[in-house]
Amino acid sequence: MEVLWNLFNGIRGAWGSDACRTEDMASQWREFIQLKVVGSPSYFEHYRSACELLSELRQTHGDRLYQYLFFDGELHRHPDARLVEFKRYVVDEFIRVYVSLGGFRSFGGKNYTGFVSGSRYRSQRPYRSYEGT
Amino acid sequence: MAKSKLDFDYVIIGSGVAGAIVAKRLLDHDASASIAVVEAGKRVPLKDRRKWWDFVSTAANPYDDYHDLPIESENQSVGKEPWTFRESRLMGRGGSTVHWGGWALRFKEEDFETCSRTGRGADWPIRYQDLESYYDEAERWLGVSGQSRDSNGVVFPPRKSEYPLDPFPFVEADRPLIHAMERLGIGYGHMPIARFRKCMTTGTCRYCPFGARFTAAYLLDEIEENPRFTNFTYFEQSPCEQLLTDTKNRVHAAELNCTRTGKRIKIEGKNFIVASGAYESPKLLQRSVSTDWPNGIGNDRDLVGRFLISHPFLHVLAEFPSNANRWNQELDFPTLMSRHFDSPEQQAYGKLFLFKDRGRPSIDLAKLMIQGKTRAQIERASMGPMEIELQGFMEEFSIFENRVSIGTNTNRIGLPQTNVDFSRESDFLDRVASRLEIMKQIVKDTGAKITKAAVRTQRGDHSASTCRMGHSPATSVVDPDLRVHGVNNLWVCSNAVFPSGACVNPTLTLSALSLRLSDKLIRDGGAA
Repeated sequence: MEVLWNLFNGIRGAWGSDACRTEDMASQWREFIQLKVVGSPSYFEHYRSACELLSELRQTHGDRLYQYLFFDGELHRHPDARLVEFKRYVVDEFIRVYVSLGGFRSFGGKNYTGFVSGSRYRSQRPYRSYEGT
Repeated sequence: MAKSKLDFDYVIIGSGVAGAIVAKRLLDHDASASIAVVEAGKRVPLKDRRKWWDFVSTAANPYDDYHDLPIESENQSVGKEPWTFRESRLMGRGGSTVHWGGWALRFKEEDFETCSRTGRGADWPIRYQDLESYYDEAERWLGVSGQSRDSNGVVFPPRKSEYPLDPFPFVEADRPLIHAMERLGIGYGHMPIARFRKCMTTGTCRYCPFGARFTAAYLLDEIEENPRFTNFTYFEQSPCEQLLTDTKNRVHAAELNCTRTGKRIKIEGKNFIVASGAYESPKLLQRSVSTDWPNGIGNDRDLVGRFLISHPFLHVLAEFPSNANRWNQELDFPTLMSRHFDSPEQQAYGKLFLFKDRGRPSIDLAKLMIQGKTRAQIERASMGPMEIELQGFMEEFSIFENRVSIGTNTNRIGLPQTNVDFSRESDFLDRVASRLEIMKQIVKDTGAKITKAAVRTQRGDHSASTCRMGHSPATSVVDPDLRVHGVNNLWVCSNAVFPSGACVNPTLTLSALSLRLSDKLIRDGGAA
């Protein structure tokens, strides 16, 4: 779990800003992982393999691991099928979850697809509205 | 009254909004009523957090498998105008309200007098005033948010009640179109949306993790979870093969093909309500052939399946050179709409209902990140050219030649293939062009550069009029109470009964009709 959480934090390190904190996303991210492992189809093997791969890649790329994973590696077209699957089922899905849980804030906006922003009956509008500007 | 397991007071074919409302209303009146709801499709898992996470993280839609497949063996378009079913209906428990956008608009007074006012299509045998109280109630059932007055202070159609829920504020990106409409003196308003109070604005309306968008499946859940409704039975994955008559004017049974078990069963009843949408309702009547009804029940005059209409979808796409405010739609439904051209003056040309595209402006941040774009590159992209689109539904007039009929194949859930024979009237393109001019004028006034203005290929959403209602059996399939002409205990309750389709979404009107039919059945005791 910690290895995967570190990867998730690496996404913030690559694209985030002070506008969003992964600490605020932790409980929903844990739910995501749990349901992906327990539900069908189970992602247990994807995550287990991801942990192994990350360990191997860390030895090769050291501190530049996330730079390699997110920008340089072109993992989606890598000859190693394990890396292609890792990119698709773990990295890409983590990126989508990260953006939806609040990562979008680094690029402006109050709401985004998948962001649970609360009832519209709260005094603070949960999205940027015409009347409110 | 409790009856044998396969004998019911009411047999309802179809579990969409019409079937579910009629069942619930009848049971609310008499909890012991024996009611069967028959559904051809499966149960979509709703409010399922795993399904929702899959939707967010992979865009896998939990109900993709419940749509028509894009292959000819499922449905055939045989007319001059291609007709596509792509995601236009959902075949499963709750019907199309499982995937609908929740737009819940009333028809206007003049929509009930289409033929009298235009010489085209057909009039309704009832007036807006006959439905008004049912519209009020339907809005409460569906949990509709909205605002009665438009920006010019006009209330239409007339209503005595306010919306049950306050409107959603306009999104910030509505601003250019709002300003353009104000400059042009065009009234605009808030889109009435069927969302319950628990809307958390997740932007994943197509699959809400909280059940905030109304779907008829929740009504069925309420029925099944209520211990008082002991005589309610739900038949799942059981396409109705045909209705059986014992005399010409009485249906006595429905023959079901339970695709899960492979068994065929016959269920008997006192009253039968066909609530299977604008395709399956006429097809069921057409295939219910007997010596009394050689062309199918209610089809002695070859009107069943005729007069098919839908809403042509018009759109004007435009681009601003930059998006300095980094606007995003931020919601998965439109907040801005205009019924300014949904007016008596425009009726002869085809009324026009306008709304802003729910998907623009949009920037898919995650996609750019997945592609390996840097933060600086994404910043530039999010402030780069910005698209907006004004969209509209145009009213269409029904003609005899456009029809739904049964094909030779069977689709994957056991329903017979649908054949659609559809062609446009000769002045269609001229009318489209005049509607697009209206839309282009608005979009041009925003200052954006128009990049496209067109009518999309016709889809099957909002299809209607295939068993239209009227006073005379010579021109209609059902009477003003939705009873099939010539049959005492058979009703059709679906968009199929609409004599005309206005230019707005049909679901609220169908819901109002369903409540009205329920009251009629309660008052008269059905066919008793």
